[in-house]
Amino acid sequence: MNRAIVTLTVNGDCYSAAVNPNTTLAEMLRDHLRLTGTKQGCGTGDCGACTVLMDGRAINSCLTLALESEGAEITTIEGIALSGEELHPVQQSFIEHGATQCGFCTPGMVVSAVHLLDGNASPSEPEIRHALGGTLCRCTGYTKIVEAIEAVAEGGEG
Amino acid sequence: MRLPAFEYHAPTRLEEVFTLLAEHGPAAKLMAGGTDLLPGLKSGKRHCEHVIALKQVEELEGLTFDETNGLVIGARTLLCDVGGSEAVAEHYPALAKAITTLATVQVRNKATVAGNLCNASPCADTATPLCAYGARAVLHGPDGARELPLEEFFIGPGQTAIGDREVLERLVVPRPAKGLRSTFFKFSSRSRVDIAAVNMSLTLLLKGEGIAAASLFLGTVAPTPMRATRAEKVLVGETISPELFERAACAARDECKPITDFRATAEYKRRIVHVMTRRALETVTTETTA
Repeated sequence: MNRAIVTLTVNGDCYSAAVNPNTTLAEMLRDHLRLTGTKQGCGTGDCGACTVLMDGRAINSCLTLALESEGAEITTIEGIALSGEELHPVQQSFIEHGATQCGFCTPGMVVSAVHLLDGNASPSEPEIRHALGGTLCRCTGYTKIVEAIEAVAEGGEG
Repeated sequence: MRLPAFEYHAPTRLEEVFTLLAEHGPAAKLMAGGTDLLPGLKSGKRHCEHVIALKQVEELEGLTFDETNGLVIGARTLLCDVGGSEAVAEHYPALAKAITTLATVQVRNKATVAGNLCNASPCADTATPLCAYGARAVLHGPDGARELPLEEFFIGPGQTAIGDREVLERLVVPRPAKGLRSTFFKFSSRSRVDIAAVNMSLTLLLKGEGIAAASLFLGTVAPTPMRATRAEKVLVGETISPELFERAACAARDECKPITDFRATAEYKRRIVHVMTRRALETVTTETTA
């Protein structure tokens, strides 16, 4: 198995890494770039804990080869905050609504919610639930998660 | 779960794909979105020494619609792009509906329609609507391209008509006849995300109260997506009525060949086909627009 160099942008910074062809994007982010906010849960694209944005679209980084992300712009949970001091409104709302329990799904939930709001600034509750269908919370804390996103949505109560 | 070792190839032209396929034979697997292949490799259900990624192959690009050629879906086209297309929503609503219920946002952002078809699962959600709209598959090999009706593309579970050195290049879906009505139905234990226990697509062309043409495809209840020819025969040439719909639903129930699996028993799937066929007929005939 020949290692290959992949060059990509992660959270605005350019990286090059030498990876094996069977290294997934999730593994590269966590093991090579030490960006451990992205979680690996099921590894089969069912749980969504590994969700990141690739060129603005939410994808499962466990089902993406590192080499497939050549030239791509990746945003992980570490790059969602607006600045070092200011959280993204979705992150702030998750804190205010207590929308985390064990926290393992939270990075994927936040990235999925940001992706949803990028395409639809005022989603309805069913739209929020549908959009989060691929992101599982094993603590089953969905109500507060949905409320946190509703509060950020345009016209939300928050 | 880690992936087993393999070599990775990212060709940009079909010619290179053909060369790689000739070189590596069955040790190579083609990958579009990878959302079926990679879990298969991780679980050990699939094996390969070479992954040939198709996402950069120029000839496979494109999603177009026009009145003459209808819809053309290049094999690289992502499910989210087809599902989000205004032309698809307007002219092929059953396909649009099937895609919104298929897997998850994350998977639809990576997976392709072509990959969903090449995976050749009997429950592939895009198969029944595309078949019902009369889609044709364009296969390209080193000796040129050939075209076949999509319903002949499926040979069995996981098996397609693609030759050893061929690639599914694109799908061509004719422009629906004026006034054609269509719908997609799916039943699964989770309302979204889940793989279908039963899915189906129906297209119907009405002339007044009479049925001029009908196409009904059932998923998950046979080794391949199956055409419910007996149900179609019951419908064509007749006048719409609850009794007619019941007869067609019974025909579809009787002609399907489901097996019991962990999603549902064969008997339950038959009952779903019965109810779903009737509901699909009621839905398309009560819609005010096509």
